[in-house]
Amino acid sequence: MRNLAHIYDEVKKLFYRLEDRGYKPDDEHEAYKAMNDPEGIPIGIFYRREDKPSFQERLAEQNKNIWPAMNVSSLPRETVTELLYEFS
Amino acid sequence: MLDPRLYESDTRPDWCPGCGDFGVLAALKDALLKSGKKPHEVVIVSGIGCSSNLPGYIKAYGFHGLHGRPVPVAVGIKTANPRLTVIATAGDGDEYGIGFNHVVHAARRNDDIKLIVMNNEIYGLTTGQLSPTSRLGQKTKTSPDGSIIYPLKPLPTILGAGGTFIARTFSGDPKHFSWVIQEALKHRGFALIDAVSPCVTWHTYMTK
Repeated sequence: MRNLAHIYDEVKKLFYRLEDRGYKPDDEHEAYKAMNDPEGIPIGIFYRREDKPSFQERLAEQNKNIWPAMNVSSLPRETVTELLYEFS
Repeated sequence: MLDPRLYESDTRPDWCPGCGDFGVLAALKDALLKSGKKPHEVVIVSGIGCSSNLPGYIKAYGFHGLHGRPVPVAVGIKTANPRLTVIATAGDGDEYGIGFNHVVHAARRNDDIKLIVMNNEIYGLTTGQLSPTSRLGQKTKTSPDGSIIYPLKPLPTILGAGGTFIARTFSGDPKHFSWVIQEALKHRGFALIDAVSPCVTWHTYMTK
């Protein structure tokens, strides 16, 4: 069997950590540049923004306003079970 | 921290000795423990490929789906039960080829799922064919004279699609990998983690 132990040490040398270079992942243009760095393979977080709500958060908000009765988690379990039996 | 054995499965991985996916599995378990997630709060979804066997090797809810389709399954689970932590795991053929359209739209919608793509630049399970991230000139069974196709750049593509968390890490650096996953778990929205995960059997540039 081949000795594979050296592989990871060798491959690891190809990478550099973004955070070690003081990189801040809050700029889209900087992220694009880092992703296309011809000098090496960067690892770390390229881009991150927390101000954009997720689809599930927006859906919950919309359902709360439009269809309050569709909030299944607030219904008694028996009600849901009875409903499911109608489809069995 | 939770008991380290909490996520230990009874099933042993059947990956090749030296496969990068062992490091991914270890980092994922570590990140879940350090994030205080309990197995009943977590669902791991996968597609088809060597890496997509991962849900079987971790004691949490799992769904081994169709080729290229872990993202729509994960989105469905998260939408039905937003209290769950939903993580999709797959390979580069699965997510950057067959199912890449789903990844683009999940990024656009900012679906609250985490996607770990184990990128080895080749189709490994089917014994070494060209994948979307294979390098120019790379010799595979389907490119015996070397690939003449430029590789896909998935990270800039997802950035352009509106992705809100985009990272890359290396399976041979489990501490860094675990940290990236922990940060992704804190993120409120879609997180793409491109995991460089060497295939020691079919992608010989790393192993010669």
